[in-house]
Amino acid sequence: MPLLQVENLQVSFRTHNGFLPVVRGVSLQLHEGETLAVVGESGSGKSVTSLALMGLLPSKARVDGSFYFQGEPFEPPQGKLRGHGLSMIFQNPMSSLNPVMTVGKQVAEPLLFHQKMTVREADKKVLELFHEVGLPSTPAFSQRYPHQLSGGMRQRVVIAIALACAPSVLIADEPTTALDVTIQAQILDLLKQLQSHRKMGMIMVTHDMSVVETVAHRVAVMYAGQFVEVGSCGQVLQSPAHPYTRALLASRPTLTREPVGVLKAISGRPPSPSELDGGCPFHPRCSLVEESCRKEEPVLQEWEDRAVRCPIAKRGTTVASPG
Amino acid sequence: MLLQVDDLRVRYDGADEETLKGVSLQIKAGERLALVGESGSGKSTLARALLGLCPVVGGEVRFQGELLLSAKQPLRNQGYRRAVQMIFQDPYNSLHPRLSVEKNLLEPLKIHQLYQGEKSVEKARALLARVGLDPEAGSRYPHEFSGGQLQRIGIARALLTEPQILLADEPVSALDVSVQAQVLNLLAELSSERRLALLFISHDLAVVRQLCGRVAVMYRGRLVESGAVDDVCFEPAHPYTETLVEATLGHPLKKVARKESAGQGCPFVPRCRKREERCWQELPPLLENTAGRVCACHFPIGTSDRQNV
Repeated sequence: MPLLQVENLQVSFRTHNGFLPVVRGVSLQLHEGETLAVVGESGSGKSVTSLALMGLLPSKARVDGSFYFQGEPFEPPQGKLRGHGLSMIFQNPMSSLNPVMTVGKQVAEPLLFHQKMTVREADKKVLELFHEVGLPSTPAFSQRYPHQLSGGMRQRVVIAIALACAPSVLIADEPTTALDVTIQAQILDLLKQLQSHRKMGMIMVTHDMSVVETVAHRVAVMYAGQFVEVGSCGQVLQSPAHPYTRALLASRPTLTREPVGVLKAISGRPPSPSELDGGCPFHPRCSLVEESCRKEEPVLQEWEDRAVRCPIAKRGTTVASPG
Repeated sequence: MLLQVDDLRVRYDGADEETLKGVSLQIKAGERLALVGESGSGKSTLARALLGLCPVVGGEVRFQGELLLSAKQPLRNQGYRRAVQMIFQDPYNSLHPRLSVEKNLLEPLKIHQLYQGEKSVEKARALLARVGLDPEAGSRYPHEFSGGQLQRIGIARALLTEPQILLADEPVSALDVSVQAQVLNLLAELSSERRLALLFISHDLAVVRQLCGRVAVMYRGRLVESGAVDDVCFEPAHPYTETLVEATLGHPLKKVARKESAGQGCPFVPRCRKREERCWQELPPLLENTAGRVCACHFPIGTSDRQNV
């Protein structure tokens, strides 16, 4: 049984011109000890998907879909699941910490609130958590304020808070984007270790393929509010099927000894939700575009080891190797 | 030499130590030099100092051989200001939100009294077209554009004064992956066709290799290594550069027990895998070996102990 299952998640935001669909039918399954990376560009709906799971969207958002946690249906916002069930790490550690509260108190907060620990129990647990995330486990460290810490240490504090109630599912929304490359590597390393040690399910939301490569078992590529390709990390990165995944991988510079040529940029830009015209959302930028792509939105089809939302890519790979 | 920086030192008011602790570098006409390093390494401060935006307390900057800027001489040369332009990381915040794109573009022409009236508008439209935007885009406002388009507008504005050096501070970091490649290609084309030198600041070695021929690595206000981009990326001599390369490649990090340093030794010593007694005591000088390779390390990585990067 999957730890977390989502069926047909739809999120739209109320605006002056009616509801704008931002997430358009996302289904996912997450198993114990598995990391699913959701990768996409800004506006693709990846962050909204994770906020919807946590029940953290504002009231102007309309959320539809079915959610199951360990087989049991739940409705976000789910005060009962937050903490021990699902927990989340955000992008910018400075803005997710309270600047006028010591870090020890901030890590203790979920323990006091969700687990009804006494202050003394919580203080002890805080030091254990500090140790687990690689921070000094001393009472003196508990007394420090976020501004006294480096970006990497702050993110470790945020991770300690998220882990405080031993969640089954950890959602990390671009947890390393605001950090330096070397610190990013340390934090990813830490998340990977914690995840396998605690057998958590993890959803890693990112725009960075190298992050996907480092931590994920499976990857879901998101474009214009939909998953366009879902499969195991190795397969999708090695032999991408959807034209968007292919173009995305081809457009990024890599640190190899290959001679430097002109980057294969994807022309245009991702569509905004108001620009969707009923065809495939990627068709204006797609190299394989055909007449049918402009008229009909493709569906996500299971195909061999993965799911792809492009009938042409599927046909193409059975006839010739993808170009 | 187009731009020559010698032992440049910057110290912000009230700071305990210098943010730039003596940096020297040269840029030739049309050359693309990258500056890489973590936040706080001083790479943005260096770019800002070259624009006269930081308190310089030592060293000097020469432009085409002429002394421009030193601790005693603030930057006043209008011709140089015209020749050096900058593009910024955040394209949203670098344009005036309440001026149309065209008015935004005309600002530098006004300041430098370059073209007037119809001529200047013509010039602005031509550049908009060159960076790949519809000339009609001029009448629209910044909020109507996407990040990639705004960065193109920022580039067009920087190019209006026909600069010889473009300072680019993380110009693609805030952009989407699919758009990043478009902007990198555009910068490469513009630099080649106009013989425009580029000082490209980035934390991403893969992006740097795509665009630049030479790279300088900074750590805590000093240069620690520089050389041809492939040499530095694939055969790093300084252990810090090696750490950056490993992190970029997503390789697992080697654990080094951190110890606090007393301060007089090598700044990288608390994190260094090759440190020895001498490193705690003595600041390594920046030495040039053959083939223009420069490194500040007592025990640079030789071919024998290079890890597979």
